[in-house]
Amino acid sequence: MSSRNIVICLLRLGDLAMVSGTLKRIKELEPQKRLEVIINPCAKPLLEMLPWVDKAYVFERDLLGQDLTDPQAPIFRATDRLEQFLRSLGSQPVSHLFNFTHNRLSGHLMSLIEAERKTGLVLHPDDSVAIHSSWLQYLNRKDVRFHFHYCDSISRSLGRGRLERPIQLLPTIRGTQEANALIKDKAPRILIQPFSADKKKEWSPESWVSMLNQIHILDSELQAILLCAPDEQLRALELISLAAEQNVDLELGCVSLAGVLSLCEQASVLVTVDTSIKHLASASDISIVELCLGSSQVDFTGTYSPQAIIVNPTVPCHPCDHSRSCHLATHECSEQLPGAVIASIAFHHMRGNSQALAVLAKESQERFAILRPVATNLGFWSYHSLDSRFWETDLMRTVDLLAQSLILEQEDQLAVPPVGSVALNLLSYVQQVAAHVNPREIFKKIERVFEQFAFHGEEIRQLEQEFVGCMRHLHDKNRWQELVQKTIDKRLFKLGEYRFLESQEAGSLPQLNDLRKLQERIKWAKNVNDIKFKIFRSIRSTIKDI
Amino acid sequence: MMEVKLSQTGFPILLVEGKPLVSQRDPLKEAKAWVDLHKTQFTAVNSVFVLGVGCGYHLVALQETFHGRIVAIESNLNFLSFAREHLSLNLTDVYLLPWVTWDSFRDDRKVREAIGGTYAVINHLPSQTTARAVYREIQDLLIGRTLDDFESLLSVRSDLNHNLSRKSLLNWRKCREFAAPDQRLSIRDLKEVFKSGSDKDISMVNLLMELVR
Repeated sequence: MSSRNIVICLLRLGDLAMVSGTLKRIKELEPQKRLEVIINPCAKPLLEMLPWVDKAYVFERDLLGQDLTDPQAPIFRATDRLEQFLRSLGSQPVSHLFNFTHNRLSGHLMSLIEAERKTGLVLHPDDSVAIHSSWLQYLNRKDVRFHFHYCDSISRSLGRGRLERPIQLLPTIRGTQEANALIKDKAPRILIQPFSADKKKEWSPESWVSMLNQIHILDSELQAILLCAPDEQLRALELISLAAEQNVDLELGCVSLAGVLSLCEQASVLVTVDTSIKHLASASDISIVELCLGSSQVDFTGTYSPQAIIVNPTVPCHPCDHSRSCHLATHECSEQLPGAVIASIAFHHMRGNSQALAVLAKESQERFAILRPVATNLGFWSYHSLDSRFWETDLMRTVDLLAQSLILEQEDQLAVPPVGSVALNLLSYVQQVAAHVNPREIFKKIERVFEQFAFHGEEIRQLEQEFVGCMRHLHDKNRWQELVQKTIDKRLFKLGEYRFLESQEAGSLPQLNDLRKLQERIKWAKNVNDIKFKIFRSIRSTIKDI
Repeated sequence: MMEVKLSQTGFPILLVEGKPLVSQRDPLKEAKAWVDLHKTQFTAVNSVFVLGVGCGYHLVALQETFHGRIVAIESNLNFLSFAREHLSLNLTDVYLLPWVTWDSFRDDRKVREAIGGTYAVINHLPSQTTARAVYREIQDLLIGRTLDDFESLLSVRSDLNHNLSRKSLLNWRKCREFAAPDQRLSIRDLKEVFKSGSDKDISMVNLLMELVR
């Protein structure tokens, strides 16, 4: 019996889209083995665009949830249903089992499926944990300020470097027919995706209408299509009606996901909030403008397309907590984005007018940042601000990610870490994003950064000593809490690359796990800083030679 | 006293003490409405236990919609006779079972097969007018969410209980009786019970616990 590879992807539709390229890569690496996936029911519509997936098993979590919470459901029904699901996976040997979901539910599921090799979170019956991948383990990190994109963490867990296009979906005949039924002429189209499952990620209907009004003025030939799912039709019709009151023509585009992909292949630009549609669109070459509102996090799930522009509000509350609704009296992040300005951004982005976008970025920087994702030669997705004055922030973020990347690949432990080549790549990246800056200014900045990392190195050495000092107060929970929060957390936060993190519950004594995690954080900070120091030392030498 | 009459649509129906068990106008339409009302309960299960056979029309309607195993339980032998006499050709996919005792019930092969998979328990209340308490007891046994009912159900499930140690079961039962004897059992109790089970049992229950966190 030939074996197969199984991937557990029990997240939302957009998350499955984000791992589509990685799934294809797995199939390409071992084409003789069947590629099978375990997905949630909501992700089923994507399967027709993933021909490299040989089989999908649907994990009916809602039915299981009902079995568990309905007091009239027989007590064993949930376990029986789960048992039936496991039997449905069949008895064919599993060569490699991947967990791209990375939550506790998937961790337990991993332990229930036998496989020769496992990559990703596994939670064993004895409560022990295994991950077998530094990149997937990284997904848990909430304390770092600069984070890798989800697509990169997943694709690099294969150990084959970065994927050029981690989002890959194939159009279908049915989708093309749907799109052709909607677009019957050659007039350029603008697609809008206004609705999200999370209200705080949405822009107001008035803002959408204002944007469409303005864009029609800029380009009278551009025709607008409103994308929506069947259960969003009512809201869509309300928006169309509102637009009609302002004499704005807006066509309803209630098509399947395959239809959306085909529409993206034909349309000129998509303006979208943070939904799965933006990930679908990333599989095409359409120009995308993402409105990054509410709890949307650019670093983690920003549009992964070189044809994208991301509009990121600069309000203190953004991004907000994913699990809570907006706590402010008004939806401030959304109000920072005037419809007319977004229209200008979409218009100029569609035309490829970088200069105009740079001007808009500079003028709007107090309300929002305009970010452009870049396909770097550094091994990960990144972005830079179109307001050229922020090149230093972009540089610091990129350096931080570069250092983290070397550590995750364990290249920092090599006898000769590839710091030199990394430094050269970084230098060419700096020259790309800071092309307008005087080279002398760049050199001065690098000198300052070099000194800063030297200083940070000293800070971290003190941190290590403080940690040892904290260990003397393990019996005193108040003293421990005070020391950890006022010294260690504060110092890590001051370094600039870490978020302030609640180490543990107030008033509780540290457990061995807490100590281990704290020690790992300090070690991580030290390693990252050491690498950054070496990179900049290498850059400094290179520039001096030049 | 029981009598048989014809409904307005020409179908035989039962009356008990002069009261009809089903609609005198259109029993089939009423039966379809009953099925629609309970549809969500029998979606995605292997078997359905219907408590109450009555005139049987609800079972005819059910087998048109649900294609798994149907086990219909009836405590009144006269109702069963009526269904067998008037609807035998229509109830081809329904297993009619008289209720005698739990022991005879659980020893029935088809019942054991049904209990061994996913199943729903649905009441046909009009059929239960003469013996409500009995049906409540049957329902509780099949659902298994009290201490005694749980152990009764576990006794049928040899696939589950062979992994569990008798001592830990007894200990668990003692703790439960002391803490909250009347409270309905849930997945949290299964977690305690399966502590002594196989690694697979423990992982399965741990997984299910994540769904209710």
